Amino acid sequence: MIETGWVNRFALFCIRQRVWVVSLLAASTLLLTFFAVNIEVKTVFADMLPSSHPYVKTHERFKDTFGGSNIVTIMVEVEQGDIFQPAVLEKVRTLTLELRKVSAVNPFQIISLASKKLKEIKSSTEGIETKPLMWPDLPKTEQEISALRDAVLRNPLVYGSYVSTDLKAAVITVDFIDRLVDYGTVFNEINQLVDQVRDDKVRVRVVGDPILYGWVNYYLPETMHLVLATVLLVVGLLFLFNRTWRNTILPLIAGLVSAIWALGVTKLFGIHFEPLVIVVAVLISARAVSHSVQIVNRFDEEVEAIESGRESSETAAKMALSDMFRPGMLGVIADAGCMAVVALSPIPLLQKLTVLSVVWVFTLSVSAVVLTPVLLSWGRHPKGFAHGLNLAPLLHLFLGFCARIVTSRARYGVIAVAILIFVSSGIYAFKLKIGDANPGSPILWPDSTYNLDSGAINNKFQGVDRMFIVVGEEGSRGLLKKVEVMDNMNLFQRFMSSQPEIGATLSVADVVPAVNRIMHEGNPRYQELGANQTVNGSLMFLFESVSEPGDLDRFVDNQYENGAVTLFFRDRQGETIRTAVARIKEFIAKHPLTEGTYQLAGGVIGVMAAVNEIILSGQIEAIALALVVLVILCTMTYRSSVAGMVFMVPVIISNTITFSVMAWMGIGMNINTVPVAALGIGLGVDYSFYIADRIKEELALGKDAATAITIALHSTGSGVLVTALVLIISVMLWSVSSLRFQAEMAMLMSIWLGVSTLSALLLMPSIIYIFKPEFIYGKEPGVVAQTQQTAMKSGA
Amino acid sequence: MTSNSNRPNSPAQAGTGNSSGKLIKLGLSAIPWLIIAGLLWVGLFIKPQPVGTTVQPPSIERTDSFYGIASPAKGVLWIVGNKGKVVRSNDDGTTWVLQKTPTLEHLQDVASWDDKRAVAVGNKGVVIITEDGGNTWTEVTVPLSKVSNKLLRVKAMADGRAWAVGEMGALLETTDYGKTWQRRRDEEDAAWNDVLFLDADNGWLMGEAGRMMRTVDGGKTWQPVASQVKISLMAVAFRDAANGVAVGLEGSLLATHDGGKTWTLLPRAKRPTGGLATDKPETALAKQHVLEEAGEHLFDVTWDEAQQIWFAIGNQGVWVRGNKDADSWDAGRIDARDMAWHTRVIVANGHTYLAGGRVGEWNGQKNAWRAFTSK
Repeated sequence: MIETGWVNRFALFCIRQRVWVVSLLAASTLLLTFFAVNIEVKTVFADMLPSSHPYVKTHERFKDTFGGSNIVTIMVEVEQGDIFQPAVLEKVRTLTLELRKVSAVNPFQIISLASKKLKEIKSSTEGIETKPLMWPDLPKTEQEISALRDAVLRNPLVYGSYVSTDLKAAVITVDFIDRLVDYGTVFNEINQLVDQVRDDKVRVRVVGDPILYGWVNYYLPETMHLVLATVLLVVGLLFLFNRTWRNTILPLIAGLVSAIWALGVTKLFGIHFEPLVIVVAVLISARAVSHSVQIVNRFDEEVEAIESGRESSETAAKMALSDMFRPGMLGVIADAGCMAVVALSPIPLLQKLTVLSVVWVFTLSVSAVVLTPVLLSWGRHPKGFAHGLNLAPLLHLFLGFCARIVTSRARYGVIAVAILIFVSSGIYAFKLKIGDANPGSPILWPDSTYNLDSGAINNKFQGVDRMFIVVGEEGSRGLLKKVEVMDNMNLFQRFMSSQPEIGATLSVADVVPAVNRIMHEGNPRYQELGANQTVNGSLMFLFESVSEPGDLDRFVDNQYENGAVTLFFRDRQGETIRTAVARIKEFIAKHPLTEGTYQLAGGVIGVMAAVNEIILSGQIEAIALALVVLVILCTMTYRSSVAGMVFMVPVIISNTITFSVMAWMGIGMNINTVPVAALGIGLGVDYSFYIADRIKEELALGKDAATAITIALHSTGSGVLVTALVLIISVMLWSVSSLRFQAEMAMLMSIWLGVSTLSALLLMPSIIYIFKPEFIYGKEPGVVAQTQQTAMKSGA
Repeated sequence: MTSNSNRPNSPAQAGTGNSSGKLIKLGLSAIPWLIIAGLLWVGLFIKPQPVGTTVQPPSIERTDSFYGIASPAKGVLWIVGNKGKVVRSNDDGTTWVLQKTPTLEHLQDVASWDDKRAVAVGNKGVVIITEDGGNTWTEVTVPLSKVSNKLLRVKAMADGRAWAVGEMGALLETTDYGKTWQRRRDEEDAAWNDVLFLDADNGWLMGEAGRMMRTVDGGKTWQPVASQVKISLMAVAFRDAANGVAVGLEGSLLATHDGGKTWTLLPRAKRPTGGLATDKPETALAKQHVLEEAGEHLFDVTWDEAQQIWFAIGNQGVWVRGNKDADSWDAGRIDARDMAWHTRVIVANGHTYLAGGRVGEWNGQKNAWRAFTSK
């Protein structure tokens, strides 16, 4: 369609004032570059938490005392013998002492055999006395070591928790002050520390969220290399396919300008950049490249069209700009709109990412839709080629094939296949796992150091990942001394211990019986909770009086209002967490407390449970809202709600396929994958816009449907095909990433791009050809029918 | 040509065509909104589901404590413990069935008259009895103290008699298979830890702070006996009318060879320090020469007629073994790495069974432990 009105005037203005337009854009780009290079790249765990979720509220309220989400576990494991060797104990001690120097460490939460916290409680003639197991001095003689071993073996709070049951490993756990922790620094400092004690006799393994995200940071240089390699590959492939420097450099410039603008604006908003979502940046840059390629292709066509007359880059550029303005802007706005709805998610990470993405996509309207044609207007040799290898015939062979399918009866086959794919992928999508799908972190490969370490520690111990449940009530002092409450907690722990998901449990209801037994000459017949509130109170008081300030705080606050039951998990799989939470709720429902309530759930597993609970419904709602945006946009643009329905088709199919591919490859939908999945919802619908718009244009010029479709496929379609090929091949590079997450997300993106390309080249034209929607055909078909009727009448 | 110009030509047809066309159009334009509404609805209600079913705790849980054990017949075992738990096996501990009891108090001991009739006692003076092998347990009332009533031990005797002891000097007797109980001593602020009747007339009480009492008239009158120790005595056993052994806290061993007139405090039993399994056998051998005293609390003792040994158990998985004359003792651990305590040991049908933090069968000749577990 030849645009008239303001679009045309705008195009004319841009080309005439091109020096000013380009200078203005260059100046802004320069300015924003300054901000863009200063953007902070870091992971902030708090950003991943849906702050409105009750679990997260519980977590935030109690994390400082009952254990946060940043606990790091270090395991020292011996190859031969047991850990009760002076050299090994020395290492445990060194690690324990040196950990205090690591930044943001909470010095009161470093717990190990060598810390002051783990102690033996004994009753003696003088009363009750406590002695740290291995603090301040290491045991020296054979006898002392033997005594230490016995002390460990008879201490249920140590044996199995801080020393493995086979005595071959000891752990040190350390918590951090949440608001101060910087994962990169912690990772480096702890690794340096661990390297000091590592030798051929012991293996030292480290796990915990700061370490996990530290690994992500560690691979940041590699990730940047991948980004660079991707850019180079894109350039190379564009050059190969497009055969001109102009058509190679311009899309690249469009991509770069967008990236700079987006990062600069994001920095101005004070938002940092999450290293794991670099893949999203690649995704959006891919959009910039596609739009730009569409424009340069259109430019080439315009040049072709006015070839006979005087060749003028300016005229061609103006035409390209005005012609591509509508589908281009529609694509940009649709992409941005579909991404914007993700901001409704309660997860701050997603909200911030949405700001970044929406800004980024909108910059495409300047960088690709305007800047590219303006720069094109300076083109000197619009018809020359930079190399002789012409792949266009191959592409056109494929496009011709597509056109033949669409214009022959095979188009019904296309629809049938699409329906089949939609139904089968839709059904398979139900197998999608919510939360982590496998043991170990899905961010890293199964054979990565971290995942091997994590597996080894979880194997030796009862589980390193914690969830705490708070029992308590506001303003009910002394609640935790009550017999009913303590009995209920004890029952709860017994019930949860039987569930295969749980490695171990710990609460004040474990401490009190131990103290009680000590008070009764060590008689196990008294290893039980106190008979009444007063006894429980005095037993807790007794424990506190012989321990360091704060030792009891791990279990109960100092007013005895709130207490924690800590559950230890061996893995973080979505199913494990979900099932455990269901069991917790089942217990609470069956054993209600008359006073006080159970509050779920803090610790790293608690907040993961919260995230997992909301992401599935969040994702489905985001898809629905993205469709709302799409339908409204299409209805407004084409003045037909049927248009909305037609363009929904590729979006829905690409999402069911994505879901089922994730299910098939064992990629769970979790806090890391959900940004990519959410931002990808509307991805690729712009291919369909370009094709549909071209068909409409050609029809408006009076061509018949088959010709219009064939022309559209060979012109716009070739742009679509080139971009898709270039991007898919480039994105494949990421499969070598050391971060499994990036490799998998890149693959998902390739699938997305592939699906949208095929939708645009086969499905959309088929739908248009078969259903002949009015918004593409104009009122023509109806008119034709009526005209025929009229003709028949008049004939009669 | 536009549709506007056509309409006037055929108003009727255009009218019908339009109304059905409009209907279709309306339907078509409603579809996207229906899809969206459907998705939103799904989004509101869809929740990932937990997998599997709730695992019901097994009869013998990992965290269970079993304080008492009884074996009324070959292969039949009753164990009682925390939270009013009674579990029975009819196949020598291979499979276990949880029995329903009317109490949630910790049960401290169990005694049986035969494989149908048994009594279990526990915290807060709770006493439950069964007459049908444990299919039904009923709670019976016993004389209670106002201060505290934890019952620690129960011993069954012939003709439906049984004795139970506990806190506040509790000494209770039944003569009708546990249906009714009478208090046989006044309250005092000290607990009796064990009661033993050698026959209908001769009986013993072991208690806190080294207290020991005996009766020769079936429990009507009791006389204190000097034990020479101030440490709490936990259990006593006799192999005949003259020879007995009492055990107590901190590894204390007392023996009598004159029917309990005089008791001698024996030196503590000794065990090799290398009692722990180690990966280096040569060091274990080297350690064999160094002996250490078994100073752990001892909670129960029994006479093993078949092996002709005294056998006692206690805290931290300790076992102590004495010869027939009780003048030579050695000690060891049930398991090098499992320091679970045990409160009861019985010898039945040639097997030695232990109840405690872990419950199972101990084979002293093979140094082998068979833990009782259940699915």
